[in-house]
Amino acid sequence: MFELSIAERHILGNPRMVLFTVISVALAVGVIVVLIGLTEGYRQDLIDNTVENSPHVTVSPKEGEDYIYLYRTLTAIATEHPEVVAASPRLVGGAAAKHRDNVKGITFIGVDPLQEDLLLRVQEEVVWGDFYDLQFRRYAAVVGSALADDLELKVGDKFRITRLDASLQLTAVGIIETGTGLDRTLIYLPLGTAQQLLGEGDVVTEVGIRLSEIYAAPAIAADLNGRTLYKAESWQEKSRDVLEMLDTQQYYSWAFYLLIFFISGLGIVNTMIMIVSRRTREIGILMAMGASRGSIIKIFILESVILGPPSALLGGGLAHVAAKLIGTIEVPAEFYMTDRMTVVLDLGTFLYVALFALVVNFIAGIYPAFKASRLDPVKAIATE
Amino acid sequence: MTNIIEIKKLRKVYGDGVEVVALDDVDLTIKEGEVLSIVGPSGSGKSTLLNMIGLLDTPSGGEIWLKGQNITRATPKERARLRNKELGFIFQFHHLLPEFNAVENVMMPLLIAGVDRDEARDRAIALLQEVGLADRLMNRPNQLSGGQNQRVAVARALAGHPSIVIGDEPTGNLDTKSSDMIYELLRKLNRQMNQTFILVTHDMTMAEKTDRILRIVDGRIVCEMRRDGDEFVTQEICRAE
Repeated sequence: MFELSIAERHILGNPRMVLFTVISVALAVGVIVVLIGLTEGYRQDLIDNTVENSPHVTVSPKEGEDYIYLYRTLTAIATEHPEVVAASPRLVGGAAAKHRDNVKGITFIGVDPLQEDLLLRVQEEVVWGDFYDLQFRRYAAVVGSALADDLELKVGDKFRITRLDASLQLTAVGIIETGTGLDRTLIYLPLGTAQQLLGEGDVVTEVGIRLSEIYAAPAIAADLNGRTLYKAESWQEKSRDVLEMLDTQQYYSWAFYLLIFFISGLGIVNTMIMIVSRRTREIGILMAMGASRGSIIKIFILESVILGPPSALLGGGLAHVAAKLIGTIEVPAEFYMTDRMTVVLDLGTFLYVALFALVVNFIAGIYPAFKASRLDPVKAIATE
Repeated sequence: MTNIIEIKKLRKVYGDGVEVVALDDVDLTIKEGEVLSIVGPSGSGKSTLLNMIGLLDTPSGGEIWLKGQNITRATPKERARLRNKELGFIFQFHHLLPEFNAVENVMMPLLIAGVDRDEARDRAIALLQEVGLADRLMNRPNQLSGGQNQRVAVARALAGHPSIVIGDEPTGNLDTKSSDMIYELLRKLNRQMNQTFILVTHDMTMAEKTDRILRIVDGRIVCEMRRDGDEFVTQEICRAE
């Protein structure tokens, strides 16, 4: 195929111009792959975060009630499902904590430490002390790390927690660091202690359920809703808004990606027009030798398309480096879910973007190639 | 000898507002194997006539017949095919493709015709040997002299076994020695392969070596001289001029 060898020589004959074109497309590919990777990373972080740090199914009180009274029956029903790893009754409420002169508003969660650790792997996040002390000491508390700082509280210190008329003196037995905003407000208590503070008897506000198979959550929630009057909600339902927002955002992102490709496509068109105008006489000569219009079109589209794969590869390399760099940047955990942004570089995504880059190169080659094929050979040959 | 080209009442009018008649009802018959030269002042229409015969340009009126086939209204695709198969071009400047060496340049018309690469290479090498460039096969145009490049261009024009070779001032850019060499080469190839040569030239010394000289002025053939042995027989009309 003589068209290919001519295209190849043209490209090698204009190394600088070609290099800049390749770089422009590579940048487009790189930026798009990284942006997609960031969005995907955010989605995965969000899911991981949701799945790791909150119950897969949350059961709330019946309509019009504030508490779950028969929570033991409820957990028994829940654990009939083989996927249920833990069913942790939780009593969540607000109170004030005081240590020395420091007073802070807090959220307490009364739990059965065994079930709660199965539910959220709390022990792994305890940086000081032991979560299981809650099992053996009635007036013990595990305190969020930032809250402990605010209260100037250390493990072993006694502090006071107050809700309405009730007030208890507790001993800090552990410090927990989840890496989220909860660290500033959270205090874990034994369930009995929390119930004592609340004064409503043997009740909980929710039952958190962990599953071995996270995608079974909607089915199990539906089953519980069918069999009890409590309100069970899967993690997917709970984070539906944010997942939907991400989906919506994808549409805008695609418009943005198209624009990036459009701009880099214009760069290719420009280069190709330059090449065609530099090669006008040569095109005339090829026509005189009998090259058909189709062959001329082929030559210049090939030239444009040949630039695609190196651009895509270079873009992939750039994306890889950028992803590594982004991974090293620390972001405040309060703004994000973790202290690092994750860029998910998926080969499929890359191939998809690379293919798209090829299509852009192809489309960008059409107009210059068409113009070249319509040159008048007599005028083209006479060109200086 | 059979007629390879017949031109009947050929007209070419260029017009953007003011019309310029480049060719004015030209009639011309060219026989197979003939070596013909076209002379005339600049802008007389000789290159236009050559471009018509070379199927690079389309006439405004009249007809062109090539090997008994009316090609006046041939499609662009058909014209491209005929240029490739029946015609070879030699230009004033060699117009070789700068990124390709001598062999590759000569191979090009063959590759366009779809000839197998190895076969094209063999043919190109044989032709370059024929034009005396056996030791310059791998040189690119910028590594060759003007005369050498023009010889590569001749080899390229002949590569596809065309029945007609068209030269637009083929020696116009060369010194006398190289000019003579190119002309002798063309003449030798004409004798060997019986190809028809149509040459536009300013160089009367070269024109006088051809079989027939046409003089064009203002788009009309005003004089035709035909060789008869060593002499040229001139039409009456020429004397009147």
